[in-house]
Amino acid sequence: MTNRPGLNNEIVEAMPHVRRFAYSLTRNAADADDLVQTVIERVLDRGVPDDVELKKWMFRVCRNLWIDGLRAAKTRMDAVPELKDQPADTLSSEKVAADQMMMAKTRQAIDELPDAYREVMTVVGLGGASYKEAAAMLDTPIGTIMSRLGRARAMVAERTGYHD
Amino acid sequence: MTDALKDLDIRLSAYLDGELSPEDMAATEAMIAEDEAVAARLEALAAAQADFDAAASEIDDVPMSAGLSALIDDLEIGAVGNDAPSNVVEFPFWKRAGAFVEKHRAIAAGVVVAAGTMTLTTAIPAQVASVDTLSGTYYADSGLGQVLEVAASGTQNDIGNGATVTPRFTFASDDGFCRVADVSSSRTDGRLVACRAENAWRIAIATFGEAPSTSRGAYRTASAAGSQSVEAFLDAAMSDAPLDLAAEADLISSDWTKQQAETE
Repeated sequence: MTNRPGLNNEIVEAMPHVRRFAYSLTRNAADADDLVQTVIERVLDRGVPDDVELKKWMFRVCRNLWIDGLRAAKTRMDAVPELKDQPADTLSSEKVAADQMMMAKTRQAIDELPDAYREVMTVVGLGGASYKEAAAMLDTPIGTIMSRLGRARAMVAERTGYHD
Repeated sequence: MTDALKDLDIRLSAYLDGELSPEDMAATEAMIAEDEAVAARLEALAAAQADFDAAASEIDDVPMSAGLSALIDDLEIGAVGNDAPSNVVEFPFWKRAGAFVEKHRAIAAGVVVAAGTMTLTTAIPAQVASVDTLSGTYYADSGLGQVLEVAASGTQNDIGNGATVTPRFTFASDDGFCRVADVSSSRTDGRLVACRAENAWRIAIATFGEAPSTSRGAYRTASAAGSQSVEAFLDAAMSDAPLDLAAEADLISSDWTKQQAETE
């Protein structure tokens, strides 16, 4: 573990991706920002292995901290997704109504996913982890990663109207 | 949903991720080519992941929390982390100026210092876009001048009326020392360069823009603050790297007398 040169800039550049990752896990903007802040502080405090991609390392730290948080307190499990109640002008006001309806359906579909399904879509789909990396990160067999992903995507597809 | 369809979903999902064996990839491609329903299902699964990703990016439109925003600011100026050598205040914005600096060099060089004492209120107009040649003189008894005189870089200082001044770094110029500072109020955000001469701080260049509409931890980038012209000015005015915090502290504690010694 070292604090490699240029780490600050790397963190700043990775931050928007980590924030989406955190939001995808927590489904709550305030919780996501708290999580990202803790991730950055953890990375600054403990350093990063020399041979890893920082963004993926931050995803990993993010996921682990989120799980730690879940174990410590279940409050996030019951959190109402914040963006649902955001006033329209907080989000982009240029979205057409159809897009908003589609996004609302998607949000609901994501909220209804079991945590394990949402987690694997976040880690692999959003985070870009290979199945092998995801299996290591989630301490889950590769076969389970594969089946959860297929089922999770199918659930989202059905609930957003993509099913046949 | 049938078990068979679930199996198909798993297969197609893994195909999308390129995680099947070469044999299974080939077999799946053949299935997709031969059966429109399979192809449609593949499209649906891909769309589901795309929708999932798009939903995550919604947070891009939400201002960052105050704590996270402050941490990012600190990272950018090198106030935290071990990026900067020793305690040098890093200011990455102007280093990135690149071609933009070249483009705006002439504008920056044309900015002159005007006479006159200005209050903070007049220095921060409600809405000024991009480059503003607004300039004037602040004396050390004004809030801004007082901050520039005594405050260390990286510290945020309340100067009243809801406005704050955050010196970013100090550098030596041909005529003495100058400081880059961010000014923020409920109405505007700005960045300026002020240089010390004759015991007073004189603004060399200032850019101001409308403050973010959200007050809760909005993340202000350098470009959002209209600072690129400041960067261009810095490129023209700075002959050396910014002072490190220790050298800056020495200057402050000596009431900037080193400036006079070096310029005499």
